[in-house]
Amino acid sequence: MLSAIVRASLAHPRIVTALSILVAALSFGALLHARFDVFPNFAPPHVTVQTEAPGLDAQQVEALVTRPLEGLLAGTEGVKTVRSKSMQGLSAIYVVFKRRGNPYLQRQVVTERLSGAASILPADAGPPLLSPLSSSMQYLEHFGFTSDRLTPVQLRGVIRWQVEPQILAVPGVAQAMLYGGAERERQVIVDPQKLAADGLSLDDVFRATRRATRLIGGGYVQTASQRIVLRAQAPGVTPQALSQAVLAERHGLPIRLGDVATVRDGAAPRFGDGIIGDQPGILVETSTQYGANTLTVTHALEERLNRIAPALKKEGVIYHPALLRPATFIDSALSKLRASLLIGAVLVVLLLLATLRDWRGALISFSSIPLSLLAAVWILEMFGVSLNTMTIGGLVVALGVVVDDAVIDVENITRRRRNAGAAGAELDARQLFVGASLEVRQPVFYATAAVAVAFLPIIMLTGIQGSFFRPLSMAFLLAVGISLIVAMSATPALCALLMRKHRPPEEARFLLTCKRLQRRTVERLYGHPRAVVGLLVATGLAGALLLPLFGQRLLPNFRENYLIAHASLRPGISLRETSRVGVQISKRLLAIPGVKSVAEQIGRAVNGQDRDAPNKSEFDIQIDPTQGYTPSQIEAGIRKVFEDFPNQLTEVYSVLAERIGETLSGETASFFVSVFGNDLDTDDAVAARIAAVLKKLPHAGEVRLQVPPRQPELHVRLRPRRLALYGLQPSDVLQTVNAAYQGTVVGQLAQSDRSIPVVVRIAGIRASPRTIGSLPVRSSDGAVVPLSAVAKVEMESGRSEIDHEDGLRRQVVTANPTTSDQTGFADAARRAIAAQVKLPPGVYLRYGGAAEAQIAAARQLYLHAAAALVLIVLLMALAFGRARHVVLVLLVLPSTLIGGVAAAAMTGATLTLGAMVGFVALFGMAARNTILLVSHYDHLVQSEGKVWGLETALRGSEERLTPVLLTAMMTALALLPVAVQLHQPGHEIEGPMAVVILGGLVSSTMVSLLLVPPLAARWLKPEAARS
Amino acid sequence: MTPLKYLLLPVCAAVALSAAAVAGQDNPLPTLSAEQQRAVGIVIAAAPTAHLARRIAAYGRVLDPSQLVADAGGLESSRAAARAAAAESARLQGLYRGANASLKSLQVAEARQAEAQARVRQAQSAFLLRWGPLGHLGHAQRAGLIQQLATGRELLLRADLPGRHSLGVLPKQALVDVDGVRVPARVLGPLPQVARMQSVGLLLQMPNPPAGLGPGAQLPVMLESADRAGRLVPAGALLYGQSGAYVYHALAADAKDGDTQFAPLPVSLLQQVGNAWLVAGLHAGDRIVVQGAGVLWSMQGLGSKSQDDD
Repeated sequence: MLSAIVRASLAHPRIVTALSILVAALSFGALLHARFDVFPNFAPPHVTVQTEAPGLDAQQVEALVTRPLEGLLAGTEGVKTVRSKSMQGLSAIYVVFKRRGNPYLQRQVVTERLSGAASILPADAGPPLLSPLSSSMQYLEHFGFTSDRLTPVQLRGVIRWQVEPQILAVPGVAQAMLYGGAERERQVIVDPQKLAADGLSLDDVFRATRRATRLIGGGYVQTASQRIVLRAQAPGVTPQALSQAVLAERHGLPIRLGDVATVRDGAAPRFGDGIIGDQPGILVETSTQYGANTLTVTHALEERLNRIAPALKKEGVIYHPALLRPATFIDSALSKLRASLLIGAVLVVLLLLATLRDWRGALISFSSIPLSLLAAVWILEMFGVSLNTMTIGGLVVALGVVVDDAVIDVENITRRRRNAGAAGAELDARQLFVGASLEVRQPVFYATAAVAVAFLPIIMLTGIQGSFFRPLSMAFLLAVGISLIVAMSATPALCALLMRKHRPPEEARFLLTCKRLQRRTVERLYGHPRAVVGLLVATGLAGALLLPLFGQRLLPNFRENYLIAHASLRPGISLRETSRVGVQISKRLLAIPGVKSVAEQIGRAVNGQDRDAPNKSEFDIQIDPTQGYTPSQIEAGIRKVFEDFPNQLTEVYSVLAERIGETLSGETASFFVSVFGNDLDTDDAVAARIAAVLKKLPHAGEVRLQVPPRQPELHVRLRPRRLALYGLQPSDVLQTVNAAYQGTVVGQLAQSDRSIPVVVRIAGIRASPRTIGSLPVRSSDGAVVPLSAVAKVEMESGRSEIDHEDGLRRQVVTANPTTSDQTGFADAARRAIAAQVKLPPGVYLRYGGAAEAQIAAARQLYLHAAAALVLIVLLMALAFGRARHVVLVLLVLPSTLIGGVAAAAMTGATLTLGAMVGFVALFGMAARNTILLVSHYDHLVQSEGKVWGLETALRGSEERLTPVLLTAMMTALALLPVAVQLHQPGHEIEGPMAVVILGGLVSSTMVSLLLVPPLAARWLKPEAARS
Repeated sequence: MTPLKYLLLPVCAAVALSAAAVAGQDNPLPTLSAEQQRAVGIVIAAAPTAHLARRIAAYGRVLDPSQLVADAGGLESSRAAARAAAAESARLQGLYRGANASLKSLQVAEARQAEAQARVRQAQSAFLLRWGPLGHLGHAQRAGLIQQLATGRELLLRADLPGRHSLGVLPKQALVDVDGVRVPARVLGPLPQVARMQSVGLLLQMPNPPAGLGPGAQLPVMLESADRAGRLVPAGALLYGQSGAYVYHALAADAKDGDTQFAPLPVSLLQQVGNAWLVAGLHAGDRIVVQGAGVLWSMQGLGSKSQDDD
């Protein structure tokens, strides 16, 4: 079949070339419209179910809201994990779906399950709200608004009602969360004394307010020729109007709401805040819809915001763009990668011209490289795979094979013509092309298959590792597969068009020099076979032994222009204090040279993705390394600022690392231990012991209990006998407490295009736990007593947050090891915990984090790699048909990796999965070189009738030197700009790959050209094999 | 180190230990360098002493003087009736001794006298029960008061203290909040009868009341007792724990490296004064954290970091 394709291409070179140009054009078009993203969609689809439970504390929320909802969600089809947080006033359930399902259907199933929630939740709890499906990165863009002219209520009104709808109208925007400002509400502030004086209760106020604000439609008036709409207006449309609402009648005179209460518009209590720069403002956090293109959506959103910014400025609102913008990393990474690849391409062309000394050969060889890669991009695009760090990485890794495919045919034709000497030009061109192409086709096919098999273990990775590296492997395999097709079709066709009457120039002088050196070395080594074997075994063993000593981490540190700092104050701290400290920190951060912008989100937004209490905040810090300071220096300055604020725990991450960590396990730390058990105090005790053990480990970094400690609570315990004494009902008291300290929402007012909640509150409530006892409570018979007369009010400590995973209570201990060997730390931690922590009955542990994920990935990788090795051996057996050949290839392969090991050691001795992929690619390329060399020996003996011996081995090696050297040099030059810019943004994945491949190319080329020939000359018996 | 510092060290340590116990914290006391104090906005100051009258919030209701007039009139008429009955009885006694009146007539007069006196006692008791301290006034004084009430130059109010059934020391003065204006009133004494609010009540007398303030009006009243001494701290300096309220104070001796250590100091809240509290438990020389107490509170509850952090 291979032969048929080659012959058909040579028979119709113009058609094949035209088709190739068409494919290249279409592929280029696909590239222009490709979806660019930071990463593939690595996170499993998920939704957050948030239920507001005003006034309830964490334990009440857990028992009354979270547990019942978890019960509803239990056993839902397609749900992988359910994690929850119960905190004061809020239940947040994080539902993670299984991968490879239809996320929209999965979300629908959850919605259906929750449809029965209303009947099982407390009356005052809000409905469970589902977050929209968002992309893995989740963050689209964070931006802010401030105003010196508007009040926080007015500013929030402008952003919520004028800007937010426009943001959500941008295709691809899933959600916009607003932090900061203050929501407007209509407040009915009741004077309890006046209420008591008139013999009225809070219920009377609730009823009157509801009646006054209820909107009932008017209908229409129908005349003979007209239909006139009748619009009825609620009486409470203004505070003045609402204060006229009648509560009751005494002695023929009405008692109005205004007689017992003050009616006004005010700010609702806040559970979150936003700081832009160093002043309060509104921080808007947008997230991307599931599957949307980050770059496109970002640009569309920015265009929309830039359009409305001038109008906002006239209102006194200043727009602060790009406070956190992941698209910047994509732009920067793509432009840097594009520049590196362009430089690489120019170098490759120059090398081709210098070595082949022929523009035709150079053109044919080079043209097949972009054709193969562009066609791969087209197919990826067709299957909805975005162009991201990983897919581009796959294409970069494929360069080595694609280049080899591009060179091998042209070089073979040129060599055959050159070998034929003066008669070369007279040779039948088609016969020459067919012979040259088919000579290498079969071994190239097997070699490509071996490389593809080497990538199978990566494709078979599951979980988040699979999500990351499957697209890389797919891109690689696609590029390699297409390259094979191009080598069998477009390349022979172009050769037929351009090289029919071609006279090859003399071989480049440096290649001749290399061949002389090779001959001399091989002849010398031929006499020392044991030394050669010893060298191969030694280098192979050295590589195998050194690799495990390297540090390992799943993903490298991404060099972004944005950092995220998670700050956590003590649970129970006031929002005002968190904001005050936040402003101080922001001022100091902004003073650091190289810090461009700072924004802070505090607490949570309405139905936001982050379920944080007011003690938690998140700083978005934009750095600008172009101002003469390196990112490391700027980050050190940032960390120094946080050190001056020891009142909070702070962790600084790059945006990508934060997102990946959160996605892996719901925790941002790279190592964590979940303690499961029903008794929270026992869980805390075990977690504390584990934390103590972890702290003693070297390089443990920041060790923390993730579920925060207790917070102060003011417990109001009603005394039944006292209640009876005053004729009070418990609900009367609780209702009063709720109205006083929470505010009771009794209705909604429609005003213009917006709705405002109407809230009843109690006047004279002071912000002190001491004064709660004096809260006046009125019974139905008119008795007014202070709360302290009927209830015991005590300060106690309560849980600020209760976490569940799959319905089980859990406490989490996290660590952010300071060593690059995350896996080693995880191993040490496991051993230490097992030895030093005795678990009480009913308590068990689960380990997680990036290091654990890496261990799991490595385990899978080793297992699948073993299977792949067997497959490769079978493939080689099929290709050669002789065990000696296979043994020779297997003997030399390990030693080819030593260069990669050395290069990795010189650049930090840390193996990210990117570097591991580099080793896999290197392994494939080395196998390919060796297979092609050994196959060429077979060809010389079987097709050209040479007698096997040193001379034949030398000739074969010399003939393979040019393609092997050329491929190695081209691949090296293509990857050199990437490797040189190892520490530049955008090269985090490809850089280590390039470094490993570059180092490995040196060793594999030397092994193929210098060590294999003397051994082959002694051990291989191609002739005997065939005879 | 000076000998004084040697003496102070154990004292400080003892204070620190007891303070940590008070605050219910197992964590070490927060220590901040001068740079960190500036960064987080810690402000330390001495709490000024203050003498403030003890204040109790109460609900006041303007009483209807016509009821007082009626009650006083009833009392006076019963007294007049008793006097008349006594005179009649005396007259008949003389006549009887001169055998000018029958024994029966005398006995009837004596019975009427006893009945009138019983009515007087009854009226006095009822007046005392209803008007408390006014029952002890002399006729002229009461008449004068009624005159003042009738002309609107004085008002009587009942001040109720919800939830309280007894009163220790009688407040020395009352301030009645009339549309935001605090009008002083004299505290006449406790009223024996419990009103609808089921609480102890006081009778107040307000001279020169604002025009228009009439019977039935309900007003907030602040009762002021004798002065008490304490120190004023801003409300923001106060923190609340299971053992009560406390503030942070800077320990006298600096920790090593010149850092300042802070410790919780329990205080008793006496009275809120605007945005400050009068507290007991502080001494002269105590350096109180008047701004940024939340920072120290947060530090004590965050848990320790691992050694690597340092």
